[in-house]
Amino acid sequence: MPEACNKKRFLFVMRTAPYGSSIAREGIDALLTCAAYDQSLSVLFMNDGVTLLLGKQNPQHIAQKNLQKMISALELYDVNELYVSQQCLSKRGISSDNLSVPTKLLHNADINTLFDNQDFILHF
Amino acid sequence: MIFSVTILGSPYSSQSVHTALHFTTAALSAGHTIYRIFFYHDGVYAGTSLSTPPQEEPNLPDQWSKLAVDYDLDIVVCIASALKRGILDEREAKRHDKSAFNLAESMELSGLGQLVDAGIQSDRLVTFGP
Repeated sequence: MPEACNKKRFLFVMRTAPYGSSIAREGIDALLTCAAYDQSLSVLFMNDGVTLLLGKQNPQHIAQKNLQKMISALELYDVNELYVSQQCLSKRGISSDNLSVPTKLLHNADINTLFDNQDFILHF
Repeated sequence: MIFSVTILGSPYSSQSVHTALHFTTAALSAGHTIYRIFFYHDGVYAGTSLSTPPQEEPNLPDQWSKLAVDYDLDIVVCIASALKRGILDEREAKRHDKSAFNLAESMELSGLGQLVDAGIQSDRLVTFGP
């Protein structure tokens, strides 16, 4: 595992739904790679990206990799700072009780604070 | 200031590749350092040496290659994204028994670790696209 010379704060903002575009998958690949570099890593799910957190995904029927399983594996990589936008869940009629991994609910003002406390923000 | 730039959009389909080129050129002209350019997702299409736009339109992949040569830039194209999309260097073409390769000479295929390293080594990591 590479040694970090200075620990930076990375925030990955997952804004895109799974499967319609490869960008969500590539965002998760990037975040898993970042997890291996021992940096400070947070993930925020917002906009259509909140649908990544829904359980019971069966993308094998469309020959796609299961992104929900990849997200469930994040804790194995010690990625525990997972946040989700309360407003984006509400707009889409998704209850926070139906999410497949533990996340911290954030209101918009809290999201601004989260953004302010990062060195790098990558959007997927 | 040390910048790294990551580009997710595909040339011609997305404005992001052109905007990133302008940004990078401006940063270099202002005396900043560009640590790395990282093409990811559809941005890997900027790594082709075969782009052939009409004469009156800019050749974006070639413009990136020229910038790389003029300023000795480290331009990385994500290998996993590139191979899926048919952007290969000679080594990968031989390894996968493909009849041709097309990666621009000024760029190299490498992994996502280069993106994370770019963040670690830079003051700012700016994303364009998709």
